[in-house]
Amino acid sequence: MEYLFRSPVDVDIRLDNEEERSFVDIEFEHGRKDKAPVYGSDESVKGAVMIRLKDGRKLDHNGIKIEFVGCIENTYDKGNVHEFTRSVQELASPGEMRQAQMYEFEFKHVEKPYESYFGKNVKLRYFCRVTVTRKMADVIREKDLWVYRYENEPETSNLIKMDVGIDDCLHIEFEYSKNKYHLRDVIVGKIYFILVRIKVQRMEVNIIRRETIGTPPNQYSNSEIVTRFQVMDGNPNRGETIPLRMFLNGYSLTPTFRDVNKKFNVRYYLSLILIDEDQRRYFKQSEITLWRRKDEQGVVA
Amino acid sequence: MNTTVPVNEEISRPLEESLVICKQSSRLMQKNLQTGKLMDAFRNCSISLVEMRNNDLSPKQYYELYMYTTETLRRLGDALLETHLNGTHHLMDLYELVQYAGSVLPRLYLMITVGSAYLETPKALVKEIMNDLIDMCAGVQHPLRGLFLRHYLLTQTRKGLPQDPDHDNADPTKGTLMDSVRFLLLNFTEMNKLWVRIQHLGPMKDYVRRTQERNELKVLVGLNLVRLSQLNFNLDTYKNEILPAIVEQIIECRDPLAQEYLSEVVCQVFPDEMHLETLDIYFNTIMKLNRGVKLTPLVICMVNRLTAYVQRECEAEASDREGSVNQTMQNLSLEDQSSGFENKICPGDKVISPSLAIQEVLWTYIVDVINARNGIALGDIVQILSSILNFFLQCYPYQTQYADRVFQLINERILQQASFQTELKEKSLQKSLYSILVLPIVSFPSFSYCLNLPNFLPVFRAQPNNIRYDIAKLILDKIIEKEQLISDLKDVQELFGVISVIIKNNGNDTVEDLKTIAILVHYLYNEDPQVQIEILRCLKDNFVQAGENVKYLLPVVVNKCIFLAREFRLFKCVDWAEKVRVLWDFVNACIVILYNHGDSAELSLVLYLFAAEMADIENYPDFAYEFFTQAFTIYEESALDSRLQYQQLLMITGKLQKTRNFSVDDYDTLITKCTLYASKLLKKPDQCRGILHASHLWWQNETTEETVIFRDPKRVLECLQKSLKIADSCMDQITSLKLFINILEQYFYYYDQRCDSILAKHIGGLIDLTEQNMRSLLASSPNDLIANDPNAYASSIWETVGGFSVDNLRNHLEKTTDLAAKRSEDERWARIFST
Amino acid sequence: MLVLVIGDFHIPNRSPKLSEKFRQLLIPGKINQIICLGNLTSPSIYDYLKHVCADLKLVRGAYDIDSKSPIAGKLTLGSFKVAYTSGHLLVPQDSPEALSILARDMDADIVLYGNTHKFSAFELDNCFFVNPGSATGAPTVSTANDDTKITPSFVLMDVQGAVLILYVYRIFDGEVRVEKMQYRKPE
Repeated sequence: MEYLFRSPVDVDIRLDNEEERSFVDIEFEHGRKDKAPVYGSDESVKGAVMIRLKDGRKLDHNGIKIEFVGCIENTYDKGNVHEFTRSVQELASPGEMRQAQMYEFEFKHVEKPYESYFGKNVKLRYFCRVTVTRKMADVIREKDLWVYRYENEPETSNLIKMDVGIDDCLHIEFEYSKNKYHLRDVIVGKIYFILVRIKVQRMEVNIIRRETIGTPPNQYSNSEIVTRFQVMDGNPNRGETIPLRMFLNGYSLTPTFRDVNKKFNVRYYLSLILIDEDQRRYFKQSEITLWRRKDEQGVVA
Repeated sequence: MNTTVPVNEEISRPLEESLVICKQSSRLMQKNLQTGKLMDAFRNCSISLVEMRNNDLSPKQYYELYMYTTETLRRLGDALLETHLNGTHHLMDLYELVQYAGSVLPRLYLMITVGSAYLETPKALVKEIMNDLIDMCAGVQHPLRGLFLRHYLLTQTRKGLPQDPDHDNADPTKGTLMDSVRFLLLNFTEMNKLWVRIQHLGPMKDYVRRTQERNELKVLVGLNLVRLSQLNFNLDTYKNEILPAIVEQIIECRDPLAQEYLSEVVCQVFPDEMHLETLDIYFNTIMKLNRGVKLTPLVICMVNRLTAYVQRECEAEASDREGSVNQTMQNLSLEDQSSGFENKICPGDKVISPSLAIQEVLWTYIVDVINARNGIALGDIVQILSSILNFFLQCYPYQTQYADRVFQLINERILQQASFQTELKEKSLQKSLYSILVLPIVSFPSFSYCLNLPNFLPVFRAQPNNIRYDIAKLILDKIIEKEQLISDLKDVQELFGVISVIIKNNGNDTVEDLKTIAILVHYLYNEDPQVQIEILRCLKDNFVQAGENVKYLLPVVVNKCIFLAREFRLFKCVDWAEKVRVLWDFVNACIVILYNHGDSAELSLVLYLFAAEMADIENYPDFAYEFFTQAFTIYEESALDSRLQYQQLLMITGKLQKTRNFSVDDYDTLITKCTLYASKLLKKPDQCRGILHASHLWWQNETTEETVIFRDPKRVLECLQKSLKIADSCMDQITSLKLFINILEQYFYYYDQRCDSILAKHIGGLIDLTEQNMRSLLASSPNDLIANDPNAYASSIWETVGGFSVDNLRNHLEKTTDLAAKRSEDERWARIFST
Repeated sequence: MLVLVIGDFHIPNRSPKLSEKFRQLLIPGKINQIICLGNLTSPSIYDYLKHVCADLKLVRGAYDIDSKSPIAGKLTLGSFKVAYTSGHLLVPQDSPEALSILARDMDADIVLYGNTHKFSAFELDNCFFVNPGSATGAPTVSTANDDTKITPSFVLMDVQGAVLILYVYRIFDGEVRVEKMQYRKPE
């Protein structure tokens, strides 16, 4: 719409210390890409809005405002946007602009209760929006920022240990060192073969992300395999112990989200899969909790 | 339909395809490395590594691919080490990075490549990386791929494994020797399991093919033990850590191929010093192996190693001490000549601490092995015994009781065992027993040592004829080759108990061996002639068993006896003169046997003359007389051809002429007889020359010794005159003339010798006569004739040169007269020419 | 032209073997002719000599039973007429005069003979006499009275025109010693 009615002004939102912050690459529909500066959950959002006039024309407006918005967009159910937070500041009263003007703003300790998330079917966004209200068409400018919510080390993280099998065919015992991992953590585990009567060809550990939107009964889930990781080649003898070590840092993972604003969940699972010579798959999933540790720096998204 | 070719193509195609991909990605990788694009290099390398998952390759083909790929990986590793050292990329970061590879096999190859490069950097966390690599390799359970992966691990960590034995002061991150030991032991165990597992993959019908494939792969597993053996560990570590772990794996894997191969590798690669201290473990292990495992090579392997060890150490020690091996050899052979060896130190005791009692221990285990398996083949027992016997002989040669135990066991447990009798008749087994019997013969410095093994001869005697024959021959050859003197009568008797098999053989094909026995006689020697004569008597008693062939054996005894006569005198034993008389009787008896057995007349005659010569010199004229008489008897009895007869007579004449100790009467009897024989020769020239030579019997030469010499000038002249008469009566002019010249020479000789019966006028007359005959011959035979009558040169040495010409005669006559003429300054000689 | 003069082996009856030291010297291809002066007695030594040089001249010695060899031979070397014989048929034995008579009888400049087992080389009446001794050091009766052992020896003759160079090889105390002699044919 904007390109039809040429905006008479350039609106530029600049955040303080923007260059010094780390960025997260984000991608919107239609392939638009942007870099979003990273903010902590209780950080003030402070900056300035620069409005330049084009071609030296003057601008009549009915007021200029800036909003800080946090919303959940359900991309699966298009148009369903739920704003869970919004703050507004007036930048200018209605009037006439004859020259470029800069307006400073600050949302002090603005509430950012959730971490940013761009999933398959759901997005949790934070952005600043400048609106220049006019008679004809408002000039609107948005700028996304990315919010990390750092967590403290969970008080408890239990060993995952399981004993699974198929009667008289297969019996394995596996363990993962923890059930809670920070995003640069390493999953260490081992798989112990107690009984092997099938002809195992390979074994993988996959990380699966599961998004769930809505609340029952109108709930929609989607799983995707974040990574496939082969841990064993060939058929082990009984008594063999196969080691597992996965570095998480290299994969696009987010913390586990539970019941975000009663709108969605993002959960992670480790799936141990045995594939036999006839390509039959035997698997067992175990949920793990991912969390963001404080000292983390920029992340590949 | 020819299906062979396409099938072959089919088989090799997967390899070719994989190699094409690998070569291409290897090229790209190297380009990436040159341009510093590390991530791309990793990616291209991974493409190669994906090929390592190829399921369609035989072990050999897989090996080819492996060799190519790991070469690529090594280049990558070298490049990475460089980027680390110049600070571009830290290898620890790369170590994490490569672990994102989704496939386990490429991931592990890359981890090993990066990790092993890292191990070589100065600040490396060696222990951590070692442990991590070895643990993570468990992810590959596919036997073939796992074997090669772990082989790569093994080769890549070649340089990086810690060797530092120090536990206290060392940086704990660096690891110690023990960490390396555990690392290699673990890798060994895992590789062995994978290797064993190959046997159980796939259908039963391919079992044999799989065994063969496994055989091709065994060195991959064995390399772990080789690498282990190269570590600088001490005995405690070997005994308490290394060997028990290996042994456990060997026993537990229950795989015959692995058990056999690995036991042998253990025996081959670890140091001898450690074997010595752990024989109990080794033997207990091999006795626990599967029934299907052949223990024989394992036992032999260890025994042979220890044998070689003692020999090597002894040589090294000897060359240290003596400076030169050569000298040591001389010293050894000197020692060996003396018979007492109870006090000598065995090589084994020099090298191995006697407190280990290794001879006892080893023997106990050998007996255990033989007893432990009822089904052990006789051939195997014999082979094992052969190796242990060799050990005893090489390492404990002076403690003969050990070597004898082997023969005792053979004797009691094999030869006398009813159940073995059919097997004992097998060729291969006879051959094995042969080689056992041969061992002490070739390794002992002398045959006498064999006689210190009470059970040696019984085992020998139990062998079939042909085997005994071969062994006897070998003993002969060894004694002669090593020039071993056997001086004990009893030993000689025992020796002939062994070699009588040759003597009694009586075949034509044994002649060469009989001649060898004749040579052997030279080594049966005792410096005491009283013992020596007993030895010779013993020989004679044995030799007469050869029948006709005695002629090859007895002459040497006769010769030895004849020289022994002198030994008796020089040795000055009690009543030596009397003993020599007995000796002469013995000589006579021997020659009589020789003469009576077959066509040995000529030889007997020569031997009698020889005996007579010695008897005369040693002053036993009665025996000398007897021997000459015997010689005459043979001369008379045997139908020799005239040429040979003439030669024999000449020999008798020569020997008689040399005698010094006869009484005048005896001498006269003998020479009269001799001259008579000469006059009775068939051919005139023979008669003539025979008598001419016989003339010397009446004119013995002077010697420096103060002995009475026999001279009778009258008889000399008679002989010469008789010769002249015969020469004159020869029909052939040339023959006649030649004889005249021969006679003339003798006249000159006696004239020169001042034989007073030979007068100048005789010679002058003879010269005239000869020259006159010469002239008339030349007149009647203007051509340069050659004597055409065979009689002309009968008895002359000219027979050999093809006759002589008139020219020769003239020449001969001139030379002879010239010589006389030259002396004419002397008044006596001048007298000849003045007549 | 190298000629090996050798004899009186007496193997096996008086001596067990030819010394290894001699065998090492007598290499095939170096010697042009061999003259063996009797008492060869061993077929294996015959084969050995044939192997050293195929041109082998033999004469019969006292112990060469059954031998078909002649008792003497003659050949020409350079300007020398060489006669050779074992010497066991000479009467009186080992007498220089008897040898000299033989030399004239055979019209020889050089006489090679054996039988005494002692090396000797001497000139008499314009003729040169050489005895190479026993190759094996076999004992003989004439030495029976003293206990000096027989020295194994042989002779190599190198003839160049009228000059004979004689190399005498003998084993003393286990070591081979070589001696060189020269004889020029009288005008």
